[in-house]
Amino acid sequence: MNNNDAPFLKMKGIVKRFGALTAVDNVDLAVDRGEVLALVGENAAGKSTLIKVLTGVYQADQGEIFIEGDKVEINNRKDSQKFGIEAVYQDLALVPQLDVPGNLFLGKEPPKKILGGLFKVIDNKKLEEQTRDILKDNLNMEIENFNDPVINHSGGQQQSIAIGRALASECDLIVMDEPTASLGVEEIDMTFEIVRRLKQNNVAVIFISHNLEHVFEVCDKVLVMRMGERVGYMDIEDATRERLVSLMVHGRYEEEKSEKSVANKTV
Amino acid sequence: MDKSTQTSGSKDELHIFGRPWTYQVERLGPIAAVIIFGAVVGIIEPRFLSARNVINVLYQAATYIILAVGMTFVITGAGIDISIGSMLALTGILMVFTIEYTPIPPWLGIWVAPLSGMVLGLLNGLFITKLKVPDFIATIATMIGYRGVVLIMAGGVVHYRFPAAVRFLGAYRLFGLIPISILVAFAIGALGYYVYNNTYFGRYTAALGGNRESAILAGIEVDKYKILTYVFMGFLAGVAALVTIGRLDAFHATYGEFMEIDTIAAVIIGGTALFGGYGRVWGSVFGALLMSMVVNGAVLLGFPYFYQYVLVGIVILVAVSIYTFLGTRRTT
Ligand SMILES: Nc1ncnc2c1ncn2[C@@H]1O[C@H](COP(=O)(O)OP(=O)(O)OP(=O)(O)O)[C@@H](O)[C@H]1O
Ligand SMILES: [Mg+2]
Repeated sequence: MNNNDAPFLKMKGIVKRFGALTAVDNVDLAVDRGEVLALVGENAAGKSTLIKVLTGVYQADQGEIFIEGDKVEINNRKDSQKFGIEAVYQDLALVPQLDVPGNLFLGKEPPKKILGGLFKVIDNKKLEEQTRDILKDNLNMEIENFNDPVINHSGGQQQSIAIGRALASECDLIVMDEPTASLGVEEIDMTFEIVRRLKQNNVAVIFISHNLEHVFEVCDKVLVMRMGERVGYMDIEDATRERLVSLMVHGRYEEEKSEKSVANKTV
Repeated sequence: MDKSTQTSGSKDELHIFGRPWTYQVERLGPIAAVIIFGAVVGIIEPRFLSARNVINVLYQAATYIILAVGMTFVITGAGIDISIGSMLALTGILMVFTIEYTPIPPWLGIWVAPLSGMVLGLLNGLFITKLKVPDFIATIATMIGYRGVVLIMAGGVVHYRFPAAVRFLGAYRLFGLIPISILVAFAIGALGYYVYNNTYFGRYTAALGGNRESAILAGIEVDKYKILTYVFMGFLAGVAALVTIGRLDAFHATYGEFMEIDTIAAVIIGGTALFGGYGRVWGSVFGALLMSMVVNGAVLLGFPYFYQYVLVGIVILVAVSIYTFLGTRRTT
């Protein structure tokens, strides 16, 4: 029942438990192409866990995922890649010993046939070219010493490389978990630039951040989580700093009589 | 936008030929050690550098070079294979039995060694990935188990006088001078280097050894590549069996004992990181060569036999100290 009105991604009633702890508790989420959804909440609210369910790192205990209206199973990373979902993880997920090209295209290295098509090996030359392109066009990063292991690069650069990883493949949805956490001012601007460009290119973006300034800067909608539950969902125009903070901390906002009913409005 | 251009974080470090100097030292260290050690011992005892002795040293080193190339991949994948000596013996006796007791012609029979090695390596890999036994424990268990099978099959009997096909790899010399085994060992080194740098197997082995979680997040089937490192190791243990048996034209059930220690030492001397993620194939080749040179040099210089252990121990300590020093610099 493919539905043209359906958003690109819809998650419904997601529950994820770790033993006795319910990290994600019956959360609904939707995001469409060309839309930037902010996911905010205090530490341990369940944001990272929710997106790891989406990317197949964890399996949900309950709930359903729909891509363009079709119910899908995402059981591992390969499945989510298949649906065009990429992620920049909070802990970056780089391999410290590999160099910049090795990390940017890990798992997606361009192939080359050798010995008359008998074997498929990595086309290292093309890999370096693609790396130069990504660094220059998308990250505006100078490419000196990109054959050094990434551990030799600064924290901010590693973060940029992690973002570059997600951009390195054609995708329909990018999740960014705290992409600005260890970046300097200029690198943060660059990240905003990337998000805006993704939006223009009709990519759906889920943007997780503790920094509400950053949320107001690039996001279209905000979903607030608290202790695993979804406590708010609104257009950015309806969001104020106070409202978001109150929701994040107390799970409600005084001036709003029925926040819950807004939160539960179907997405 | 141009003024926000970022520069590389390791730019401040001194770079030689586009790489940090620490990397260059790491890369050239094992070769330099071979040359320096050769020169020093050669000055004290010129016989050390005679053509005959050089070939002899290389000849001794061939088995270890072959094993060290395989071990480089295993260790890069954050594994370790203690069972290689037993695999060498077991693949050897399987080949010997095939040739002695079946009508299979020797030129076909010799393939039993590398092929059975792949099966034994596959078993190691399955125990580690599917039964989740730690690499060290799993391969200690198979070291004992595989050796047991060798002892059951061979008993105390020495098998010897093999057909030419068996002796070819270990005993034959090109132009009556250069042992085939040396050429094979260096060819395997070159192949290993190519595989490490250019194949998905090589890249993903480094990735899973460097950060398993990240490799999984990148969609890499980590178990598959882990298993492949052990299969490759088993294959090379079979090749090493051919070289050893061919050279001595004999088989005894104790073959390969303690070889895992020397092989791991050669890999570590070569600059491969013991905890995975970072392998140096040529380093392992020269590490194995250096160990052979130390043992041979000690004999020529008249050191009593057991001193060679002490000397090899010192070489390992010096090498690891240097790498640790460079490694500390690398992460600061
Ligand atoms: N693999 C795990 N095993 C057990 N508990 C976990 C695991 N991952 C997360 N948790 C727990 O689940 C809860 C939600 O964690 P999560 O990382 O999703 O929060 P978060 O909103 O991303 O927080 P932060 O803002 O600090 O990144 C926390 O209490 C955390 O300790
Ligand atoms: Mg988080």
